Amino acid sequence: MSADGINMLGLFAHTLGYWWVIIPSVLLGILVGAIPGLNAANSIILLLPLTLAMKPEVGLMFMVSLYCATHLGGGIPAILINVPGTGGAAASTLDGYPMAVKGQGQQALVLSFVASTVGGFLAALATLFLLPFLSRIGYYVHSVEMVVIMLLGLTLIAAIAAENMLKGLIAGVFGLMLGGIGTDTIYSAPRGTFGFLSLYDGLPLVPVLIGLFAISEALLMIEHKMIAAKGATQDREAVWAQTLEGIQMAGQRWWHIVWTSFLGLVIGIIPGAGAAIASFVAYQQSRFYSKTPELYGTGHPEGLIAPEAANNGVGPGTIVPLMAMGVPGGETAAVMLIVLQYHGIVLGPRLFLTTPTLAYGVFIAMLFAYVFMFFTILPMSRYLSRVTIVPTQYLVPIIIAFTLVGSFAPREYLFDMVITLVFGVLGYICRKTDYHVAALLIGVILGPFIEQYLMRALRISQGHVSILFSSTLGNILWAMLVLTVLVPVLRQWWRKKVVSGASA
Amino acid sequence: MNDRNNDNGKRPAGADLVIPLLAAGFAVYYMSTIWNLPWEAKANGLVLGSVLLFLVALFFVLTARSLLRGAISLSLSRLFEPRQFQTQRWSLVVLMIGFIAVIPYLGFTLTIFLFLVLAMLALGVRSVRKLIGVALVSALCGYLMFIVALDTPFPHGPLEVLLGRLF
Repeated sequence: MSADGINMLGLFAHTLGYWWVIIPSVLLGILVGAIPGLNAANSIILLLPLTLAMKPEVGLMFMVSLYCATHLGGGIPAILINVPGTGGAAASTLDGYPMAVKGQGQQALVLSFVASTVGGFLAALATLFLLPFLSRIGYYVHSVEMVVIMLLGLTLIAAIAAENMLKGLIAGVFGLMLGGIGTDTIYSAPRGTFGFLSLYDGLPLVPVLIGLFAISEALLMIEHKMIAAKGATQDREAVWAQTLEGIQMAGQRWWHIVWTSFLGLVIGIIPGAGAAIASFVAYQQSRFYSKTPELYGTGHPEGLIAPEAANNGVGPGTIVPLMAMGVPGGETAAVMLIVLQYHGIVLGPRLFLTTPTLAYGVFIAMLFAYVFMFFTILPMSRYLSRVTIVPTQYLVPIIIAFTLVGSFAPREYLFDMVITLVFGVLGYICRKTDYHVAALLIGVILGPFIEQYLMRALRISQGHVSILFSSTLGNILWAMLVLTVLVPVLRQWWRKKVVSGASA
Repeated sequence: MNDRNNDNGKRPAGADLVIPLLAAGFAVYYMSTIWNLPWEAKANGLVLGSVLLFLVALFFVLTARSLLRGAISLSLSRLFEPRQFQTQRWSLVVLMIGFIAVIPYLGFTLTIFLFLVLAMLALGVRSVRKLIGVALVSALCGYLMFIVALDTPFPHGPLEVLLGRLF
């Protein structure tokens, strides 16, 4: 499975020959990622007749290029209108949108594009050469560790996203409970469904995402004439100099892009942990090691770079277990697996020996996709940033109409639009009362996974809860979780003590 | 952000209780639906429900303490401020309900068009040219992109059927 002895230069030249597939896939992917309701998986499913008719190599290049580009596209509406195109872009709203409000929409977009393309490129490059080692990471993470990783992720989000940690935790655990709606996997007994058959499969994520972010934001947006704050005139005069300024800002933070993209890569390799978790963990880590953590959430460039680089680092990571072990790391990888199986391709270590053009070609295609993305999307940032100066009188109805109908697309249930409306109102209440919607959303996303891994662990131990504390890695993660909760509380207590001591 | 100290110097915190109340209500309802199920089907819900109820109880205790200290009031004003946008906000919610109700009959394009006209009207756009122009262009772009190009399974109405026969 090593790259040694394989003519890498020949492989690069061979993959570059597929530019005619990669470029349109990248453009389509950016578009799909930017539209809430559409994502890589459902777009590939929609285009299955086309993909199945292609040669397996061409089909795979098409799918991975589209997949990578959706990660980038999702950040565009997250920054400009506070509506993430995909779950993985939810963390980009935390600092991307405040930058847009300050009139730095163009710089924010450029930062996001550079972090996404460079981060994704580096992660794909690293994967290409470290594949034998990376593919083993999945072996060390079992159901116990997964439960703790998810709880840790949620706690981190609660700690960072909300002003008040208790409010963040309530929103996160409320989300986890909402994520538990639906039938259980063993007995198919309905739980918390309010009697609606449409909820037996669980809460659909796209309507929840659209409701919590798009609808609630639209209901708040009407309080302002436009997204860019009064007096913030930069986007009105968007010029190329701002594009260069964005590139310069990204260049000054190159190390930040590197390490957060690698963090995304490692998280991406773990099956089930996707872009949403990676981007929030990267955001938290970035803030944790920052010398200016208080600037996060106010439109801080590093707060945007971290989730975007990690979000794109996940892409190559998700493909690693698929190619190396035949285990899909996420929803899109599962669809890719189906397409490859249709063509009779057996995934696993032998693939790298028998068909290196396909096995390594996937990662080389990603490299080219990111290069193409960089040069196609960067010049567009100047024009895209103008969205922030469109009067909300026009913008709000358009956002509501297209996202509301977008929530119908994945399952084709009218009921899903009702769910969007309900979560829109819930999101509005959350925003008005400082319960961060991101914590609620991540809870809903993780709810079913936590139950799945918890059940697996408990069944292995025949119901003994002690299994949750039986692994070294798991225990380290538990300790980190406890510290995440305790450190902010103790820090606040200490500050109060210092202040009261000084005033006495 | 809202004025947080507008109720005789007390911070209006009544709205902060809405989410915990909803969360606690849902937790109790959820646990009632799993109570008689085998342990595999209820373990996760019981653990999460208990944690959620504990967190909500803690929040209520802290709120009660602040209330007794006179630092907060139970006013819900934060939810409804600034007041001048309430009519527009409620109009949008009503229009969304209407959108969901009529889309199976009118189809994607016509519903988008009508919603955009009415929503822009509710938000204060009075120029007929702009109302019709923006709604028409948006609905048409939506039709071309989602129905014609991507063949997305959005509801089809009389317009989609007619255009489908013509082209």
